[in-house]
Amino acid sequence: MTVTVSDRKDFTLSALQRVALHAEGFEFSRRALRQIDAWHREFSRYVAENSQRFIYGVTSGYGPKASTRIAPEKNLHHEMPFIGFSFSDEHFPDSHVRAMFFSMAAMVINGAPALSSRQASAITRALKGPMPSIPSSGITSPGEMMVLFYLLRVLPELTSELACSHCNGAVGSVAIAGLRALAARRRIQLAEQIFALSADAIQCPMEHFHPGLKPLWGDRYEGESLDSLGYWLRGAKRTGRRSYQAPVSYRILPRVLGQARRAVHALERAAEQSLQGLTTNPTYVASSHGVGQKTLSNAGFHETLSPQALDNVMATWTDLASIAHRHANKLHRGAVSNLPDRLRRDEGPSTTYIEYVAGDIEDEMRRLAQPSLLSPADPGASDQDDVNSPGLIACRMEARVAHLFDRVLTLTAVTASQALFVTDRRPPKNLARLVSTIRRHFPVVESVRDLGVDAQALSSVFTQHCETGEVLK
Amino acid sequence: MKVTLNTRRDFSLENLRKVALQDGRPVIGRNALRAMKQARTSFMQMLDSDRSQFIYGTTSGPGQRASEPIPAKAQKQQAQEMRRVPAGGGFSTSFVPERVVRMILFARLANYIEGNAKTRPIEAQRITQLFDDPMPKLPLSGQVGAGEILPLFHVLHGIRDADVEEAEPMARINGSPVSAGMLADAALTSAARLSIAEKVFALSAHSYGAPLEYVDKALLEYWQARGEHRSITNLNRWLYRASKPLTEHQPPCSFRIMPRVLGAAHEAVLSAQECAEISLSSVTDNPVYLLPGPDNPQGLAISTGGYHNAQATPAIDTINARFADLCTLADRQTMRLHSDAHLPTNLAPPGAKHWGTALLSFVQVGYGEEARHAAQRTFLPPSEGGGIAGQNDVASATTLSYQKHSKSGICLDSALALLAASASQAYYATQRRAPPKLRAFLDEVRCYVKPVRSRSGRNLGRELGRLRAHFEHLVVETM
Repeated sequence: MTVTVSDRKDFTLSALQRVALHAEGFEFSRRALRQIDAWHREFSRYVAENSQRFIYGVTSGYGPKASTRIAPEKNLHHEMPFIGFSFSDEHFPDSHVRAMFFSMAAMVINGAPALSSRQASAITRALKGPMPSIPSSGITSPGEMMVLFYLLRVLPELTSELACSHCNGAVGSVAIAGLRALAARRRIQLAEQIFALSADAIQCPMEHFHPGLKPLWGDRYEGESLDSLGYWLRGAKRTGRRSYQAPVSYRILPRVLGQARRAVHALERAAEQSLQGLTTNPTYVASSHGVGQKTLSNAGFHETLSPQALDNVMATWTDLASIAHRHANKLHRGAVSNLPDRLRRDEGPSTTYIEYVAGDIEDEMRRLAQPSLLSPADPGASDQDDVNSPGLIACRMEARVAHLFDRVLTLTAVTASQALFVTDRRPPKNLARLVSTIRRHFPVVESVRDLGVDAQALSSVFTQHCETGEVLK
Repeated sequence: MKVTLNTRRDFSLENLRKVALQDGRPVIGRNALRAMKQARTSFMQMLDSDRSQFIYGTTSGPGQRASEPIPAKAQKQQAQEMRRVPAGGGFSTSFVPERVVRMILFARLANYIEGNAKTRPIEAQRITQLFDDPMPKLPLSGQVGAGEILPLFHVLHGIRDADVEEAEPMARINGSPVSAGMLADAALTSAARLSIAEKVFALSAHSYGAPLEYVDKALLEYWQARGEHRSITNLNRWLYRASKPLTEHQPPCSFRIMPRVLGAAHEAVLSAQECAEISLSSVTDNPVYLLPGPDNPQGLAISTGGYHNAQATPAIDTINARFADLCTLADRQTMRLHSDAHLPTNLAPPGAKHWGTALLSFVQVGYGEEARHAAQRTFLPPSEGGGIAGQNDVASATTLSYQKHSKSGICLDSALALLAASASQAYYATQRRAPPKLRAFLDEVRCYVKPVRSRSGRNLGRELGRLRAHFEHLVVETM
């Protein structure tokens, strides 16, 4: 299938998923290309009539030479270091680079860079691959030029022909934030299943997740988490459960998961709004906007909303990891769980000691999940470029924290699976598939084996599911 | 001024302002009295129908004794033994502002007002009586524990000694009114702080003298976020009819990104306000009483985690992060104002000492660093301190994020004072005038820090400190 776009509203997270993750085709509609050309012609006339006017990068130099006048025709071939400077042990996967070209296309359809249809079609062509190899760190800068250096290598038309801008915007961070949002939605759904399994394993009184709490709390997201927990626990045995309340780490689940849902929703909203509202520096405002033709030097390159949303998402993963770790501990502690101590059957081997693994991961998450604040450091040798953009590093940190979260979830999942096993219980029917996945990769423990290897395998399955949407098997 | 409370809808930010800032006195309305009375009756019927059912803290012991059933005959006696809210255990050199304690007390009543606290109406009235006394002192530190019993001990210890019945002592100290109050205060003061910040940044942007295309309203055609709409609209209001720029080329990033950074700050504050409104009117008791309905003719008392407000800490942390960013912008802009070629070096006016006001740029560094420290994330505390017998194993961290917020606010006010004084100096050194709508504000700034020709006879630190205090005063006055 091909994703055909006509205006900016077509740039949804769902379309991003199809183009970036599923590598489906992409094209501008004919109507879109006609509009793009009309804006480009209008902009060309505007430059001809306003050659004395400051238009950054069109009638002026770039970066530190912003105050230097340059004739538009000379600017097309002036020196720009489109060769790449960054280096890293890792590179962005192709899906991320495709997402970047997709977000470039979103900017083009806004008319902000005033590209021609020929230039726009170059982006369509780039999406067919192969993707340029872009280091995934060493790329933070004012705006996102360090990433653009790589993207523009395969788009010579953008810099050799007149345009208001060669897409000098937040195309990298907005693209990846969109992918992070898609993964976050899947991750919270997986987390809710695992927490529900843990709640059933410790035989939480069902009243902790009573739907009657929804109107009392009055919060949409906490209501959703109550519904979700209720769904996963549907059919759970109601008799023989704990006769008194479970530890706080269980009772607060609906509220903490509700906060996680709020954070994920905010990321989805920010990512889609940013994708549809991408501007470049400078931005061309066409006559069709009704405010007079003009070019605007602005900060389209500095994305602030998705980094803020990503910060909240990774903080929520960290808090949930902290709770998941407590669950793994409590399930193993017979005096608290009312289950066989250390989940051992007849003094045989069990999962115990695997709960210790979470501490290291959790501490790493806490260190990584700090907010993406603006750095006060001078980024480089230019007074113009005096503040770095936080978008790309926020995406990288959230991805790393999310990956670690999957590992902690794995530890809780295998512990809950073991708890059901040692007490000869079956999971509620809606959780049966999850338990089957868990046990396929991490069989219940009946003899001594290297549990770390199995936990790694299960964790990878969880991560693959969250990051790509691959069905849990 | 009386603020009559009848339903949870009355727990609005507007009523909170009246109670916290305008000396409003909450009064329990007739409908609420009736609702509480009915709920208490049905709750007691439910309790009497089976005194062996688990109702946390009523038919069981409290806290780590949750698994311990209390015999029917001893249940009233257990309540009597808890008739006094203990004095708090926290201590600190600084205290939560009195207005916030009032907010917490106001929020405390939400559990009661429709009967979900399952108490007699007199219990709610006892809480309203606390408004007639001097507000209790709530230490800012030592309040991080499961639920909010630690701060509530301090706030409610003053409830007069009187007869209590089953379930009533637990209702006093369970729930999350502290989070609701602190979050509301952070949201309201931050909105007021952002108003000042916008004026200062608008002043700085214009005094720098570069084109202001980066706040052009046409950008709203593209940018859809509500925060950016606010920042661009507000900046345009202040910059209306601004005089022509000194240069024709774009200013450095630290100016151009201003509407976006302010936009993110607005987004943070708007989200905090939404969460505060939800939190204020939430019923968060544990156990909470679900009123009688078709499925439960006598109602239902259920154990929940309502006492853990998970929204407040992230919302406050996000504001703290944006305040740190605004400090960074103020630092960068102060530097540019003092160093860029189109302005007098060090903003020294002709004939004055060459060092001008360069000191201001040096001083910015420390406040920015402090703000970034205060903006470190507040996670669920790893410690299970107090989690004896595995019950109270997760602490609520709202007071911790609020404590950091107090620091963040001071840092931002300080950074803004330094930037405002720098912008004022830039106008003075270039003999330009501020845009019409900012002139009164510039005069206000100059009341505290006059333009500098010479530093002899001046104590700039003291002057700037007074300007900062003035900003802080404005925050509380306009919140």
